[in-house]
Amino acid sequence: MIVRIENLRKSFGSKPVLNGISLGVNEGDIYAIVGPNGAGKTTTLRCLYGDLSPEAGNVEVFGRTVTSKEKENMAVLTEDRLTFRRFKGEDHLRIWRMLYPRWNEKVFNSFAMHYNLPLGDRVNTYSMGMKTLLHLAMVVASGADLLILDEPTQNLDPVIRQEVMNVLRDYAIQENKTVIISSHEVFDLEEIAHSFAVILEGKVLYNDTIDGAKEKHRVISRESRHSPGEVISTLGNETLVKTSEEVGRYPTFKEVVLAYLQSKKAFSPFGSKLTL
Amino acid sequence: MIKRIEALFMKEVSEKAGRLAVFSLGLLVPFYQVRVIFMFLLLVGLLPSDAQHKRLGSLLALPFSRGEVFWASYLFLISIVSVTQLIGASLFGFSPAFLGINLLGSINFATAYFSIAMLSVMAGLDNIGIPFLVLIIDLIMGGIGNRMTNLYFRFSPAHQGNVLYVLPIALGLLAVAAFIFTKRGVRR
Repeated sequence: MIVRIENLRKSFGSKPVLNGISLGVNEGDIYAIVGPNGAGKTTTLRCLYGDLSPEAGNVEVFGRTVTSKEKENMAVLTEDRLTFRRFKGEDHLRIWRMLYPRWNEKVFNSFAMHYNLPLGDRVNTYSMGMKTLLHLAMVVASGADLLILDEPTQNLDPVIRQEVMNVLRDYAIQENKTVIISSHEVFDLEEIAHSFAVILEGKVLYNDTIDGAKEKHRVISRESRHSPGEVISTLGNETLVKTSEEVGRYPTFKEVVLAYLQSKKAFSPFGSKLTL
Repeated sequence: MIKRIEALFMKEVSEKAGRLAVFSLGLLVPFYQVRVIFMFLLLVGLLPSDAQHKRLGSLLALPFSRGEVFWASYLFLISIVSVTQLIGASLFGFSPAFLGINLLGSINFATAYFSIAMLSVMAGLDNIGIPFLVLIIDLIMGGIGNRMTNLYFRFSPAHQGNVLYVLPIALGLLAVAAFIFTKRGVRR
């Protein structure tokens, strides 16, 4: 396992943000962290790359606690596309080149030419979309084995969004890289992710592979009198149940995510489950 | 490691070029009382300012540990303080002994107040106001009564009654600030 997070807890002042998050990411996996705004996705990632110190719990990357040496093998796209003041695109490029031993100039140049990145301009004059593309180019060109991407498609138009997702998928598959993506754009994630965790109110409601989640759940009619397993939540006129019985139909990824976010599990301080 | 320090120095120079140029000119004045003003303005504008304005995230997303960020910023401060002191002293033709005492005094002051500014930010306060208040209190307490009988005067990071007495205090503050920053970071 390339990333192991165990029982992570973090508060900002008196406000708890992470309430015992645990998850693991395998090598070569594209792992999606899904949840609404404020669920704890970004805080989890910030604890993962060492920006924040958790109050409790354990974070291991490549089997070790994160140091700057491990971070040479991790490239991060932050949610707010943080940049240094007065830096031009080429200044950022120089710093990334210095810090990542396996930097790939060819890959970066392909991005820069394709998206016409104005490297001679100050980055704070870029649009948010352009900042995202510059950061993505640097993250992919870093040669790092683990990419941590916080809302990578935010501020991108639909065509570029699709293109970027395809690039990330191909990159992970061809180069055997591990990618962790945090997003609330479920449609984007279904096409490229292998595994996922649904996070709400600082805890993991459900995690599995996407195929595994679809196999373990069924969507049945709400009018059905017999429920074959654990009821997760209702979806309009239907109900998502966790079962191994061959009933109803297989759910989509979006239905699984939505059902868990709406489920009783979303607020179950004592870990209770609802069954019919 | 060298590359990481080089990258952090490059970031500081690129981001704060104008401010650094002005303060470095002021620091060329070899008299301690004048240098204190420019050293104070310089040190509160480095890591304490980045921490205060939530700009550490962009550094920590890169392959830097919090310890490296802290020590590189301190090293950058001490490099500027020392280089400008040496250049200033050579321009004004000071004796090596006088230069040595002045240089150690400047390093003591920069170390102590860099640490105080960091401790202030980490405590949720600010990077300028609280350290300035500490500086004023430090100056007042060290200026009370006769210098020969005022014990605080000898240990004061601002007055530097005895640079050798101030050194362990400055290093102690630095160690505490570095420890807290490395272990806990800035809660913002």
